[in-house]
Parts: sequence; structure tokens; C-alpha cells
Amino acid sequence: MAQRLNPSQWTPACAAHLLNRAGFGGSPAEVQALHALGLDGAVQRLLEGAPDDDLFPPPVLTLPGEIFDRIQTARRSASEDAKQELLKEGRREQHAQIRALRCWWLERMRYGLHPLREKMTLFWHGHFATGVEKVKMAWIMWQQNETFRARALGSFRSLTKEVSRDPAMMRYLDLPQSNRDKPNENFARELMELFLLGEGVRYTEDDIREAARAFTGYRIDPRKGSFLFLPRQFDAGAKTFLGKTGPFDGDAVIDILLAQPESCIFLARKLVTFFVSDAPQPALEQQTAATLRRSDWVVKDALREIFTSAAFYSPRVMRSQIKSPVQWLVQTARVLEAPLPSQTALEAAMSQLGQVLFAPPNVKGWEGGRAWISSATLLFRCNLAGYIVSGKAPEMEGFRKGSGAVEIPLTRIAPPALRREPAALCDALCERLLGARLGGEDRERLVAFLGARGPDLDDRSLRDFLHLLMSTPEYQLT
Amino acid sequence: MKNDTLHTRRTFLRTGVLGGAVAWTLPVFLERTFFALDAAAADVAIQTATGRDAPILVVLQLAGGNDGLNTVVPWADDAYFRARPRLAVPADKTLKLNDRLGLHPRLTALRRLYDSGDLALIQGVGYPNPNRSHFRSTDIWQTASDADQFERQGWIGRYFDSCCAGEDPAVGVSVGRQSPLAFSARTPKGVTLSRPEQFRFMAESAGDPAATEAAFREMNAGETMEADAAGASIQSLGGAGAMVGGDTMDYLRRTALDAQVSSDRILEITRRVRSSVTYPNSQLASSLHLVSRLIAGGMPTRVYYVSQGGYDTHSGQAGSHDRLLGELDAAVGAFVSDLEAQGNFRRVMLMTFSEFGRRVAENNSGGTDHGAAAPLFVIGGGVKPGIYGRQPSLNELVRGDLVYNVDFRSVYATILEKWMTARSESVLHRKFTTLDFI
Repeated sequence: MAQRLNPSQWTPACAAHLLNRAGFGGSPAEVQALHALGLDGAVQRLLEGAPDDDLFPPPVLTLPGEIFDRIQTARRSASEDAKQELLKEGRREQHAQIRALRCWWLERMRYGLHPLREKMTLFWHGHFATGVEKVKMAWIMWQQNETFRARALGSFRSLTKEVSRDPAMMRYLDLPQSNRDKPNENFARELMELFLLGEGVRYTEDDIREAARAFTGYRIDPRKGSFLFLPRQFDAGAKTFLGKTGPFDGDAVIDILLAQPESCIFLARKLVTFFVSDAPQPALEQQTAATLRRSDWVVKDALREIFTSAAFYSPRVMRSQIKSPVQWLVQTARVLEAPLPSQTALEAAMSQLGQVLFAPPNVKGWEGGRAWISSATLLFRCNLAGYIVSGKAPEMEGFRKGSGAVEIPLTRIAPPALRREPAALCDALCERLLGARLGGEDRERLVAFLGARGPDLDDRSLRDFLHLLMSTPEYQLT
Repeated sequence: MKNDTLHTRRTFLRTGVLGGAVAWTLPVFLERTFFALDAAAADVAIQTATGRDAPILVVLQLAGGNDGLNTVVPWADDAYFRARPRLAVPADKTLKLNDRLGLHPRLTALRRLYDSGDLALIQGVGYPNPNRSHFRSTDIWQTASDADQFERQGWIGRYFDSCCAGEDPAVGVSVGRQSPLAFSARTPKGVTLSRPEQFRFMAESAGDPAATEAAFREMNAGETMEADAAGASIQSLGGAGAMVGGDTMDYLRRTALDAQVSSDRILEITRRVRSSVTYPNSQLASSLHLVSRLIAGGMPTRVYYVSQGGYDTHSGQAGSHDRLLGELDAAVGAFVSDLEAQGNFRRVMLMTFSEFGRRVAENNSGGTDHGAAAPLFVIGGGVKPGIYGRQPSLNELVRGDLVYNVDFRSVYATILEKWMTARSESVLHRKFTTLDFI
């Protein structure tokens, strides 16, 4: 076991940190409730969550069979123009559906009853990155998302096997074009490089070729949009893979890869980077890897280990992670106890900040950490904050006048009594938004800013103040 | 001692020039300028660009692995047509450069540049033990490392470190959302932006814009340049110790400050400068359009970085590769005309690169898989036109791939030495043969 956090060190700040990292943050009341459960109780609550499927019916998505029929119809159309028009219409529809799906998922992160499961779904989306620009069908992307959700905290072994038969992943990495005569190496390569081992770890180009043969015959049923195995396209011959020889199929290749000693540490490191810190945490990584091995890859056990460890709550770790754009958007709504911005605003924000759900930059997923922040994205975060608190869209790409204001419950966040005390108001809002009070000159400046606005702070000034707090470097961290 | 001088000067600047304003601190680039003065005294090869006369490099990344064989086509080689029964560009369609090579039919502007003596084609560029992973191979190109070495800093970043200490942050400008690994440096430098009109803090939505903007500038000025002290102003809840943002907080503060000092100038230039040339409608074209306006506006930038994605043509390559090359050609063509109209073409050099070429044989999906060596283009008023390197043999393949004969770091070394007048060894860690294209 990694060294556990001493229960006497379990503070409200620890509870806030847990809620931020294992979920998407929350209001002061939510933090308080979590703190009251104690360390083990709080971690258990997050690991278990509560059922919320019924609360989030998916948007209307065209089924693969219908798309298939439409493409057939288009192919038979009288003129090339008519055909192109039909196909274009189909693309437009899919485009709208994927946008709706993005909002649906963000809403689920914002209001769902199992935040850790959504966070892990996001983790898997980055790990088994798949992009809609190549997959092209919203329904198939949604299916993959539901697979990630259903398996979010379960067995990584089962999840990996399911992903290898997942139509979105198959389309993304060209598996349906792979056959016994010409196996396509794309999936086999990324399986080792990005999903299970790490670049160049143990395997050679020969291993990639042999593994590619094992994944032949994988097809997608065009009417159902589901996995289909074509035995006559499968290469049933003997393969020599990582020193073993046999007539391996895809699942056997995955089992061999998971038996490599490096595979546990590979996933452990990724989990620790995602939940704890960009800086290496060798002890915690080793412990997490050992737990994965011992439990035969049960992710929930590994996460419990991480969330109860002393390392997770170290001062070097707390409030030191750069928020991903999705984390920034959802956490902002949650700490302000406000709804998410409108669909157009969300789309523009995700695109400008560099994290569009269902469209990772490539099969490696999002790089994360400092890569989220450039001079361009940092300024955009500040301007997005201005839009969210004021409802006024500045001249930013994708925003229109009337993109819709976000209703922020200003009276709850800053009750009238508190508005008469600039220093107390400053502290309360810093705790809510930054997870800590500011000290020194920063606090003096902010209190002076509030003081200069007169004795009874009006809503406009309060909005300016929130904009300011959300434009600090501190607000980019969680 | 040098450090003493630096410290004294820094203190002087804080207390003297800025009148001891407690609330303000030194913008990072000003501090670098003072470091540069010290370094100049110590005879370090600092280059100061004025924005009017210095040579400029534009790096254009073709992301995803451009198919070199269909870009510069060996139209007289039967082996090419045997390997590509479906994807070969017909010999009579290529834009012939000589009795063996022809450009892809969409590369008409590049062909004109070749004819006018402004384009060098470098054949068979790659590196030993090529890696077929996009990510790893891109890293190798961006850091100029050996295939088995892992470098944290990019080759352009190391050029900034060794030659541009003290320059303003806009010495490197990358168009996009993410700063490329090539820019990564010991002393972080370089500005990233996608749309200039958004590249500023917008306070007009505020109830009191002036006060909010002033407060924003103050809040982002930072307390001190010391890395770990930057986050120390936050007190913790519940007494679990002070916030230690450490390097990350320092990075955020520096980025905020660099953004702030560059944004006013960039905005001013893009509002003032207009191009006389009409650019086509593509992302690459608008990136190059922005670069040309920043050059015309006199930015002290030495390296610009732009990219075009989509070259990972595993399936259905025929149409998509034509479209990509057409887009590339039209954008570069407009950019060159624009620079010529400005009178800046002679001081700009554009280099293309891609992480690898593609497999010689086409695959079963009407595409090509990850490969190795490929050609690249260098364009500019200062190039010695012609074809450099050799077309790799299509009969002597390694793992189905072309074998390189020009190390890409020789291309970098040539540009560093002969164009940027930098000592390439200090950037590339060792001596690479330079070529004659400059």
C-alpha cells in the first residue's frame, strides 16, 4: 500500500481537492458534505456515485442502418449533383448530432450523480483517442462513449478487448480494411505504442506486423453499426509475437501484451499523471501498478489507492494542475452554481481552447499539462470568463451578440451582508473560485478594487470582480 | 561576477526606471534584454533583430507524413508505377523538372518558383534508424535528436537560447493554438496566436472596463521573478501548508505577461497592415497571410511556424492528397507574391518538412502507410535554386521504405549557418555537413 493520508489531516481543503480531481469541483456546500464523510467515506462516495442514466437521455441520433440506406439511395440518384447534395445533407446532419452529443456529455459532467465515472470516461476518451472527423457517425461515437462509461472503473483487460471491437475505434484506425493478404498495421502499432506499453517498449516492427495479422477479419456490420467477425478474412496461421508462437487472435495478442511487466506501470503512470501530477511520482506509480497487477486490472482499486494516498494530498500536488478546457468549463459552472454556457459558446470555447470532445487532435489524445496554455489560449480563457460573468460576447470567433447570458446566482454567491465587507467578500470568493484565500499584495489589490466600487457593491461590480479572479493564473489551476 | 551585475541591474531597473513601483514587476522580456547586455559583454553570440533587416525563417509543417513519392514523382522509373498501380501520378501529368523527376500536377506555383530560381528541392531527407510513429518521428524532427535520444528542447528553442537571449518574446511566433515542441527552450520564448483580433484581454464586457483592465494587468504582473515565490501569495484553507504552484505557476505568469506585452503590438500591426494579394480560403493560407502582415509590420520575429494537417493518408489517398497539395501550393504561391509586393521576399526563407514520407508500395485501402525518407522544399529570394541530395532508389528499400541520403539536420545546419548566421554546433550539439542550397 502507498502511504495513506493520516485521517487527522483530512480537511475541507482535502475534500475540495478530491472533488476537483476525481470530479469537476463543486460549491462550498458540496465540499462541506463530502468532508463530513471522512476520507474513506468520501472516496467511497466518489467511487460508487449514484445511478443517473435516466436523467440524461441521449440526443436523437440517426441509426447506422438508416445512414446506410441513405447512402445507397444517394448512389442510385439520377445525377452527380443530386448525389452530392444528398451526401452533403447527411454530413450536415451528423455534424449537428455530434454537437448535440458534446453538450449532452458536458451536461452530464455538470449535473451527473457520478462525477468520477464521467471523469474516467474522459480519461478513456483521451487514452483510446478516436475522432469523429474520420469516424463520421455520431451514433457510433456515442456507443463508444457508453462503452467507456460502462467500463469506466472496471477491468482494463475487458475494456481493451471491447475497444478493439469498437466500431468507432475500428474505423479510426483502419481495422475494417485489414485482411489476411494485406494486414493494416495502424491499430496494432497504436495498441502497443499508445494503449498498452509505450513507444518502443519491448516490441519491434516485426511484432507490429505479426500482431496486425491477429486483428484481421474484424469488420463492421453496416446495418447495425456493430462488430462482425469474418473468418475467411482472418489469418489463422501461426504468429510469432513477443517471443511466443501460436495461431493468436486479437484477444490473445492483448493478453500477451497485458502480461508484459511494463504494461501495469504504463497505465499506472497515465492515471497518476491525469489525477495527481505531471511531475513523476515514482512511489505512487509503483504502488498503483502493483495494485493493477494484483487485482487483474480493476481500475477502481487503483483509484482508491491513489485517492487515499498521502501523496495525492501533498501541498505540491494540491492546486498545481492546469485545468483542461473541459475541466475549466465544467468546474466554472459548478463553482458558480450556474448552468453551462450555450451550445454555440461551448463549441467555440472547446475549439479555441484546444479540447473538442469527440475530436482529439490525433490518436495520441490530448497532451495536457502545460500544452493547454499558450499565450493565445490563456488570453482566450480570460475573455471567456468575461463572457460567462457578463453575458456580453466580445468579438471572439464563434461568439455572437446574444450567444446567451449565463444566469449566475449572484445573491447566493455574494449575499448583501457580505457585500458590505470587501475583505470578507474577497476571501469568500477566492475560496470558492481558487480553493484558497489569496495573501499579500494580490489580496490587497483585490480588496482595494472592491473598496473603490463603493460601500454597497452592485452586481456589475461583482461581475467585474469575478471576471478578474477568473483571469488570474491561479484560476487556471486546480 | 556576471550574476552580480545582473542582479544589480535588475534591482536598478525595478527601483530606478519603474520608480520603485511595488505593484509592478519586470516583464520577462525586459529582464532578458538586460541579461542580453550582460551576455553581450561576455561575448555570447546574441543576435538582435530590428524587424527591418534581419533574415526570417518560416517553418511549414506538413503534419501526418506527406507522401514524398507523389509530391516529387520519379516519373521515369518503372518501379514507381509497379509499386503504385492505383496511386501513381501518370508520367504525362507531372510538371517535369528534368528527365527523371516531376512535381505533382497541383504544384504549379512551386513549379514557377523552381523556374524563377527561388526554390531548392532537397531529395531523400531523413535520418538513421527511422521511426514510423507519428509522434516519435515528429519529436525527432522538432528536437533534431538522434532516433534513440530524447531531447526536451526543440531545435528552434535552442537557437533562441543560444542566439536570442534578451530578445522580446515575439522572436518566435507560431500560428495556431499550441506552441510547437520545436520552440521549447530553456528560457521559454515564443508567442502563439491563431486570431490576432482575439489576442488581447477584452475588458469591454466589464461594467467598468478601464478599472478592470488595469486590475488585470496588475494581477498578471506577478510579485517576483523567482519561480517558487510566485505562488506563495495564496494561503491554504485548513492549514495544510502554503500553495506550491512552483514551476507551473511561474510558467503561467510568464505566459500571461508575454501575451500582454506582445498583444498590443500584434493587434496594432494587423489593424494597420493590409495585403495587396488575395489569399485563397484555407487555414494554411490565413496562417501565412497573418505571417506576411506581421513581417510587413516590422515585428522583430526571426522564426515563424505554421502547419497544415491531414497528410496521414492511410486510405483513400488519391483525392485527399491532391487537395492537400493544391491547398499548400495556392497558399505558398499567394504568400510569395505578397512578400514580393512588400519587397521582403529576399529576407524570408520558407522550409517545409513532414515527420516522414510514406511506404513505397500502396496498401490495400487505396492509401499508403508510414514510411521514411522524403523530399522537402526550401523557398526564398536567398536560395541557390536546384535539386540537392539524390532521389533514393526504389529498388533498394529497407522494410519497404526509401533510404535517406541527406540527414535533416544537415538542412537545419545549412539554414542556421548560412541564413541565420548562427553557430549550428551549439544548436544541434554537433557538426553536420552543410549543403549548397544557400
